[in-house]
Amino acid sequence: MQILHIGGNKTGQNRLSLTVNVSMDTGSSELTAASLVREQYQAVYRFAFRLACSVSDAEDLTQQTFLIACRKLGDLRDPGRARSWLFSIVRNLFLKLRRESQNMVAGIEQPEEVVEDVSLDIPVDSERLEQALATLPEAFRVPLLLYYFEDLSYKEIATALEVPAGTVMSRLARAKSHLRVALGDAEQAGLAERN
Amino acid sequence: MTSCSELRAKWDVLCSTELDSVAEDCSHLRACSECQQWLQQLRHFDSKVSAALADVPIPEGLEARLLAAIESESAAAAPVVESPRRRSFTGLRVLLTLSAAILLGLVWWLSVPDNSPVTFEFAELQTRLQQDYSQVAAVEALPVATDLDCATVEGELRRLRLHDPRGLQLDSVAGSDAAAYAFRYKQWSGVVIAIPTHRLQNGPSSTAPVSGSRQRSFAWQSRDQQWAYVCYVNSGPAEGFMRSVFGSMV
Repeated sequence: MQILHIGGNKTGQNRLSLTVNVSMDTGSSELTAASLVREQYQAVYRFAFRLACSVSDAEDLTQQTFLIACRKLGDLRDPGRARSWLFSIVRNLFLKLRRESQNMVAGIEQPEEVVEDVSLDIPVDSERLEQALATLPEAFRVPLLLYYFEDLSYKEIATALEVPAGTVMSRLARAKSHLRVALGDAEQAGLAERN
Repeated sequence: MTSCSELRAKWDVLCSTELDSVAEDCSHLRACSECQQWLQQLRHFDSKVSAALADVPIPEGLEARLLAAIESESAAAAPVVESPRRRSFTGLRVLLTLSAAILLGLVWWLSVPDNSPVTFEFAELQTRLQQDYSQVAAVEALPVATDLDCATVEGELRRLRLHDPRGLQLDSVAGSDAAAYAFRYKQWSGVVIAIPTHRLQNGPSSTAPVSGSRQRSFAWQSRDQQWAYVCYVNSGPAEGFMRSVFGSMV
């Protein structure tokens, strides 16, 4: 427990001179914060990188996330949910920064319509995936990452992004289709190059 | 009858739909080996994407930089919280110090040994707390948070997510004999201060919250009359907060 000192000058009138000093005893919380960093920083950074598509932005996001998390450590009731709690901070932080810098939804470039009968038997590696994600407009990339990384339901994604569930379904369907097509094209291009 | 192409086209939507409404599609899936194979491939593809997404190299030294940033912020937050108002009144403080020095002899002359517990006029204490409200409210902004053992907090206060307890030392005697807690409840947040009634003169007599002059603070006493509570609502409509937490008591 921290101490707020209310110093009273005890005179006949019991007049108070109020000084409120806050002394911090951060020992135990530093330990918790440090262990939180050690256990989760890699997962948080990876998620941040996929959202921001940039090493420096991802590192900034990760640092801000842990600073916020340490301030709000008391909000984390269940340590077993630390990762999803941290991911939600990353996501909110990213969306907040994006909203401040631009309107993410207005004027977005639309990916192609859903393409059916695309082969699913294609190799997926990090480099190709990164290229495919880079060509995906942000309004489509973010729900896709929430789906794959956070394993959120459509309704949860809709709530997080403050868009209707139908919009999430539509964007996710297009985003997945775009991913399959882009990865398939990359595979075809790779085969052609090899031949 | 759902066709293969129809099922595959709307599979993503089906995944988020109540099962009752997709019975037809499910029956197709059960009967169609090609779609079952397609679904297997889809799941395999999803798992490959998930794995590839997580395949991101971690920058060297990131962990150390993060730990240093946290340590640095903790160190910065540790010193005394001083309000801008207090800083701006440095000149006034000097004047008060001089006045206090002049009065010191008088106080010394008036002082009489007295070992009885110090008590405080509740209205005056509440006023002073309100005057230094920014500092009291700063409790909420501090980064350290410890869950409160609610065993000593009665009734409706249990609903609040009280945390981040701070001892309130009412006078120069060592020990924490009152406490401030930050709280969050739905859209509201603020500070609850619990003061033992034996330290108060003319404390709140009602067990129902009574609004203070600022309309954002409420005071009441516990049913066992052992504690006086003062609640400061920092965000959210204060009246709505009291109605929501205390219901018929207000």
